[in-house]
Amino acid sequence: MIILAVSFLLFTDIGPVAKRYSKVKVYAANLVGPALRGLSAPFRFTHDVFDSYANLVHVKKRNSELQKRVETLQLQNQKLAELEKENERLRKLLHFMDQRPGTLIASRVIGEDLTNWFKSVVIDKGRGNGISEKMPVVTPEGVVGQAVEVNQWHTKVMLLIDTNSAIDVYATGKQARGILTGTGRTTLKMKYVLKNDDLEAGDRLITSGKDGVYPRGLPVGVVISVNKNVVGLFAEVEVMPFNNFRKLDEVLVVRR
Amino acid sequence: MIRRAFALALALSLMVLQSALFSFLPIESSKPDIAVPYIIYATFFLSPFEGLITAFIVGFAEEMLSVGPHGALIFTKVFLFLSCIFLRSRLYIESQYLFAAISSCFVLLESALFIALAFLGKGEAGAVMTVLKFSLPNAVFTAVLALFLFPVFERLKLRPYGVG
Repeated sequence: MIILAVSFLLFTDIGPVAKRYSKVKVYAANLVGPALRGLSAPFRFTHDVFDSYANLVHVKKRNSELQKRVETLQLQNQKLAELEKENERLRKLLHFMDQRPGTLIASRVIGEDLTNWFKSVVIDKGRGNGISEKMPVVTPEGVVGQAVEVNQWHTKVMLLIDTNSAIDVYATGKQARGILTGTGRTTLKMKYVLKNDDLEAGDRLITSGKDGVYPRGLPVGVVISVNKNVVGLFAEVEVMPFNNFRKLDEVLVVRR
Repeated sequence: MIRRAFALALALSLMVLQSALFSFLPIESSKPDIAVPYIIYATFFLSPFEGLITAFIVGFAEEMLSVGPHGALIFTKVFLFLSCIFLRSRLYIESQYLFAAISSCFVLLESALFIALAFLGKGEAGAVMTVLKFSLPNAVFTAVLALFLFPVFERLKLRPYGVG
C-alpha cells in the first residue's frame, strides 16, 4: 500500500517528493556507476576483441582483395605497355609493307640457332608462303640477313652478324664502298675500304644491290669507327647494325 | 627399347625447346650442348652401336637448328662418340658429378676440334674467335645440364642390369 502511494505521488509529480526521489536516485547511481563500469569492462573487452577480430578479418580479406586487384592492374598495365610497343612495331611494319606492295612477306621469329657459334633465327614462314633461298630478310630498321634453308613451313635465316655473312654496301652520299661481314659479335666489319676513301664515323651504310642477294638501298648500319693506322691498302672499319638481333620479333622477307 | 626411344625423343624436344626459348631470352653467352651428355651416356652405359646412332641423330638435329657448315656438327658429334669409345674401357663413371665433368670436358674438346677444322678447312676461320669466346661458358652450362640429365637417365632405367 505504501509503495503504491509513493508511486502515485511520483507519477503525479508532487514537487517535494519528486526532488527527494531524484537526489536518492543520484546518490544510488553514484554507487552503482563504478560497479556497473567494473562489471561491464570484461564484457566490453570481450566484445571489443570479437569486434576487432571481426574487423581484422574483414580488413585482411579486403586487403587481400585489394592486393590482388593491384597485382591484376599492374599486370594489365605491363601488358598494355607491351601491347603498345607491339602496336608501334606492327604499325611500322605495315607502313614499310605499304611502301612496297606485294614484295614483302611478314613473319615471326620462332627460334634461334642451337649453338652460339653461328648466328641464325628460324621464322614461321616457308616455301608454302613463297619464300626461297637467298631471299633478303629485313625489318623497317634495316637488313636482318638472308634465307639460307627453306622448307615447307619454316625458314632458317642467317643473320648479318654471322661470320659467314657478307653484303656489298656503300655509304650514303659518298663514294666509299666495301663488303660488310659478320664477326659473330654485335658489330660488323666493313672490308676493302681504301684508306683514301672519304668514310667517317656516323656515315650510314646501305646495300649496293651488286651482290645478287640484297636489292639496292636497304639500310644496314652506321659506321662507328674508321682506323687508317694499319698496314696495307685498306682501312679497318667497324659498323653497328641498325637492328638489334637479340630483340627480333617480326621480320619481312623480300620477294624477288 | 621404348624407354630409349623416349630418351631420344626427350633430347630432340629439349633441343627444340632450347631453340625456341633462346629466341625470347636475350642470352647468347652460354648455350648448353644437349647432345653431349646423350652421346656419353649412350656410348658408356648402353652400347657403341647405340652411341653411334645417338651421335648421328642428335648431330643431325643440331644441324637442322643451326646455320653451321653442312656436316660440321655431325662430324664433331661422331668424333665425340669415337673419343667415348676410346675412353670406355679406361674410364669408370660412377657418379653424376663425374658424368657432368666429362660432359664439360667433351664440350671443350668439341670446340677445339671445330677450331682445328676451321684452320684446316679455310673459309670458316672467322668463327674461331666466336667458338673460343663461348667454349668455357658452354662447357659450364652443359655440365649443369648433365647433372640433371644423369638422374633422369638412371630413373628411366635405360641401361641393362650390370652395365656401366
